[in-house]
Amino acid sequence: MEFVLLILLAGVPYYIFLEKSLKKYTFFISAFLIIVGLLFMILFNVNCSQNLFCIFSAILTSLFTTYKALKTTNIYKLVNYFIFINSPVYFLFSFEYFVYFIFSLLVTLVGLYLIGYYYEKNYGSANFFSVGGLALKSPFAGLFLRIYLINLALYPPFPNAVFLFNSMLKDKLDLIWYTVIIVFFFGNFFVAMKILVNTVFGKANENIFYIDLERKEKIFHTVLNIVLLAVGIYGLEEVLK
Amino acid sequence: MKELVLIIPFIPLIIAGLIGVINNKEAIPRISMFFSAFIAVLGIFGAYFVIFEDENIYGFNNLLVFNELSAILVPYVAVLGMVIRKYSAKYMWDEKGYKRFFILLNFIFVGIYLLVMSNHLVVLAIAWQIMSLALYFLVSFNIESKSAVKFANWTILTHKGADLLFIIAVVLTYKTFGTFYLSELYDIWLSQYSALDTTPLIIYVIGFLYLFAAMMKSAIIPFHIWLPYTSEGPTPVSALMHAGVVNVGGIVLNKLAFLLLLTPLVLNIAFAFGLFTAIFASMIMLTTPDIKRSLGYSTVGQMGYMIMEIGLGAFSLAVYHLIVHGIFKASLFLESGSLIHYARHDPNIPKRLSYEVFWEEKIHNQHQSKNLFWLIALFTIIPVVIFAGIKFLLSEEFFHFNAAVVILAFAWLTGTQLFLSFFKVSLSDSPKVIIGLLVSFTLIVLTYEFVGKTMEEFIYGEHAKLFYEVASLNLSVIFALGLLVLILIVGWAYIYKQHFTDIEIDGEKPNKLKWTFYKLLSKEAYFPDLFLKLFKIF
Repeated sequence: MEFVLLILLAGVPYYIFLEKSLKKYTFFISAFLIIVGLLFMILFNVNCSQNLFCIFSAILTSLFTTYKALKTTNIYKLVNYFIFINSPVYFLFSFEYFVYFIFSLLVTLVGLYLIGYYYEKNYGSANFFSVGGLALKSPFAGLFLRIYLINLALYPPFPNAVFLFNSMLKDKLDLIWYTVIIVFFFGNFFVAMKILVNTVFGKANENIFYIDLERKEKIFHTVLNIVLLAVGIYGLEEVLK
Repeated sequence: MKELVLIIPFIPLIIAGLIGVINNKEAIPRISMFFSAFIAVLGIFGAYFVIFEDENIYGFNNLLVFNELSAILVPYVAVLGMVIRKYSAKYMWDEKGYKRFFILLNFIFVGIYLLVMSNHLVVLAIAWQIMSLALYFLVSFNIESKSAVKFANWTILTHKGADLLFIIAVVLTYKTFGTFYLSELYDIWLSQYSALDTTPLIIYVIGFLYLFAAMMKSAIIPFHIWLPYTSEGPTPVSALMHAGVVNVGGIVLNKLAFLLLLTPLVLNIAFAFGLFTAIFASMIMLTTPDIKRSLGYSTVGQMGYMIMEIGLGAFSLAVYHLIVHGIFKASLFLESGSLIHYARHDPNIPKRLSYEVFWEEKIHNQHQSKNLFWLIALFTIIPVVIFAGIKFLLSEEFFHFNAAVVILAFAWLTGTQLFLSFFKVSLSDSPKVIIGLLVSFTLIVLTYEFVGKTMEEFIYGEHAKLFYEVASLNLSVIFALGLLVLILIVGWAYIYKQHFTDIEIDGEKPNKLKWTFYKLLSKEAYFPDLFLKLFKIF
């Protein structure tokens, strides 16, 4: 069962089958695999936190994914990569926080995916190369993107950082935990910052007519942000108790 | 009523929220000023209460506290906040993103107030990270500038490292001592100080994690490079950064002072890093041609002094130092805008008091003795030596509080160097220069002696002496290490000389050693090159 979980949570199907023929909906398949993995954990009561093979494989996946993520400018790809950068955490977090973490991660990635969709709809593809300067030209898109990336880069009071902290408090920290924390902490941070610098920051491209988010999109992103904040505050309340 | 003081950290959040929803540009500075004035009033009221009622104010389930440290720092930050907001109101008027600037500015103040007033390590960790993030967005405020964004990335990278160390330290603190509340931790640390013969390794690890996190935030060498390069941000941000944000390392170490009682080695290491930073950053400062970067290195040097004071056990002196330095540096940055403005109209600008007092006389007396610079140096060193000598003979506690004062006097010497380089008075014959330097020297030493003592009594009371006992350096070890370093340097210089072939230029042999050292300094010890090569990720 642990081997099945490793396949599901460390992105094996993604890298073997899905990446080469990347489609818009690939993200939903990757997310589905993670949720299936989660259900397996519940149904079979699996705990991989002591399985060194699983954890080291997940660390390697995380490092490899970080490397790949730093090389691409396609938001759809990046959304998938973010799922697998966090692989070691799926094996190490205590179950309760793992569920919350997955939830907040997927909510954030849905938001990021929608930003990719916004890019595709308005600028021809989900590629952010040469389409920077959103903060000045499309302030709402810039603002929401910034919030998702802050969460992914593990800053409080957003939930990813909060549940990492809660899990650190609850679990017994050993050398593997510290290795995972460092890989996961900086992997997420570097990729998120790279996207931030190339989308929100930078000079606006004069050959592009910038369009901001539509009303419906703004409402949807606002709802996602409220959900993220609420989950983050819940996690904080728990630790402050 | 008194608990009202505890809403201070949330007021900037309210300001940011209000600014976010209003569309009237003129209302932005008004709202900002009104509420920040309210913060200042609350801060002063809180300080009055703590000083005269001799009681700390706790609230929000003891998550926040207004104690002696808050009583000193909150009014300072509040006044600084008012000045910066007032200055920004006009200075930033024509910039793109006026609203964004004020929102970010208020977010960073949320972080600072939370940090100062937290009584819970989780709140402290959140404040710590909010500050990193808000600083990043402020430094990269001019988002169209590639260099501003690049240097902001250096900043966030260093701060992210500090965040990680701090988070791990908080988790380990909880696991070791069983509570997050600082007020409870103080009692535990003090009781362990009296009870424990040897400190367990884990406590040392925690101490080092906090120290290195603080050093990263306070731009101590080798974690300093983000500070001198971030002056491209708006001037009010530079002022805030040099007067407030960079000091958080010192503030946090003050909040954790009782933990450091258990870890003398951490204090000794802090002293060593601080000393090296103070000297090396001051030297780099003198060789840097860019005035803003030079000021950045000046701040790095001052932070070195601050950490050095902590390493000596003079925690309260570090607080006083950071306030004084903050006021001085913020004034410099905020005045720079108007100076540039005047200079564009008059080529003889800057023509300030220092200029009128020293520079004009230099022009008339240029032909006279050029040895006066050395005379000035002599006049400034002799009183320090006499002061130190007398103290050493009269007081057994020489290496306690007074050691910090003496080192501060040397800090003042670096300030003199800055003074001499900026105002070009090094060759002046004016006796006013000597008098000016001596008077300022006397003032600095006396002020540090008396104000430092008073603040120490106020913040740490009867426990203040414990820090000096713990921080006392083993003189024989220091002497041995110093001798070792000296032998290494002399040996290296000898070997270097043996292999060095002198080439005469215009009949003079160049001092290659000197030029190599100068090159090292002018290249800022190759740190910028290293960062450029290593961090191309963004």
